[in-house]
Amino acid sequence: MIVKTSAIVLRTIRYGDTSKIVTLFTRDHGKVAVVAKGARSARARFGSALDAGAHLEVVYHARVSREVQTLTQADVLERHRRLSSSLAATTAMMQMVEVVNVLTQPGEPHQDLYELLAAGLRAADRRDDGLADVLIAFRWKTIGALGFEPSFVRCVRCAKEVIPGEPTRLRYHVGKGGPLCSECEQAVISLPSRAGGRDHWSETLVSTEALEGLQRLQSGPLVDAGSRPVSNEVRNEMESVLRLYERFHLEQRTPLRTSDLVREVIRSH
Amino acid sequence: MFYTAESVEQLAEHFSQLPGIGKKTAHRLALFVLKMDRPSVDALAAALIAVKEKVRYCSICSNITETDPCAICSSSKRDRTLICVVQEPNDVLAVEKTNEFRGLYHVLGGALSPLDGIGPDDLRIKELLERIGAGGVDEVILAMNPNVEGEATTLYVSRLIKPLGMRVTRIARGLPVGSDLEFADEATLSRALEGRVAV
Ligand SMILES: [Zn+2]
Ligand SMILES: [Zn+2]
Repeated sequence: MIVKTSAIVLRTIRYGDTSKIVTLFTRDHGKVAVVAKGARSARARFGSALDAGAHLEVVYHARVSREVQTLTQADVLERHRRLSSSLAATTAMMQMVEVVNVLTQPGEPHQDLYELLAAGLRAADRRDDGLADVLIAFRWKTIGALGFEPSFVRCVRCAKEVIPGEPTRLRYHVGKGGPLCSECEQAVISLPSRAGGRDHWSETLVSTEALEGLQRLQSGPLVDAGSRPVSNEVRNEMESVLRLYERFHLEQRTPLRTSDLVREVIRSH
Repeated sequence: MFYTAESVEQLAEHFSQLPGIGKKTAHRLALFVLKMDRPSVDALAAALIAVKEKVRYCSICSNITETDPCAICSSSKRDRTLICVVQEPNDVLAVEKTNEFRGLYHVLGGALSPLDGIGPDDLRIKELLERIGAGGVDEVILAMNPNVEGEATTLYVSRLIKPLGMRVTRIARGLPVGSDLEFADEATLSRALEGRVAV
């Protein structure tokens, strides 16, 4: 069967003398591995098309019995111009494709996530400042696209709105996906069933300022993430809730491979 | 009845561990060795051992060599004010073939590739900075593969070198994008070196 679809390159590995095995996130068929014969030779048939983060229109021969399909054509659909001139943009792009790669299984189409990744790469290509927030927003939106949408606004127990409100610190219940208002916090603490100690992996204290920041990042467009400056302290809070959330809901226990480089080149900006 | 010798099987098993060699080819190679004359087999075995015993990494440029420092680093004819930074030993070979470059090299041992778990600490970047810091270098030419990992490496390394005050250039983008440096023909690579631009 010949398949034609748009796709984003998640990963490439060298294969044989001159070829590459490319993991594509296709819009219509989800994650697909293809072999690109001769992609690294001097004639380099597919050109720059096959770098991680490239947004393409591809044609491949698919056989159900095979794990790796054969790529026959790849044309650039959308060019990310700053991805070869900005280390910060390149690093952000790499983290986005890594997130999608670790959270998806082969052969499961997911158009929302596909559109989100395309938008994320576009946002990373815009400018260098604010990329840390763009990445946090991207990861929260990915969680939402996978069906684990968090709440930052309402108490998970009584549904009262906790932001905007007095600046304070609230307990965030990672498992239930939302904060506890201060009244419910008191009520919950006094319950006898809670006496056995807290589960440190599933809840954390968070400031209302961080909750407001998270709400803004989650509900606003990706390109606007980072346009409002946030203190490093608040950003660290937003990120630690994010990591707990990813760990709890997506069972993502190992840190992202790109996280060291992100910390080094994006934070120091 | 199918019958084969244990030694042939063992040899085939070893061949099949080489990159790009499947079970079938490994078997064919093992049978070929069986048909070779004794001196050729001795020479092959000796060559295999020699590569492990004699070859090491140059303590200055990290290229593969049998003498330390390597022939290039110890040559009096090379321009010591110029360092060409490449990913792999094969890239030194490719640049040498152009006969265009008279400086020294620095082999990083790969490219920045966080998606494969290869970070700055896995490359010989610290060694490069120490070399440059020791003085006497006027220009550093970055000659990475024209792909996203190569670009990221160029950007990362130049960010660290630029504050040290020397000229930092990258080879021109005439190379086919997506290809590996080692496959570039000499004329193209010569032009790319000549047309290098400031980073
Ligand atoms: Zn409540
Ligand atoms: Zn040397």
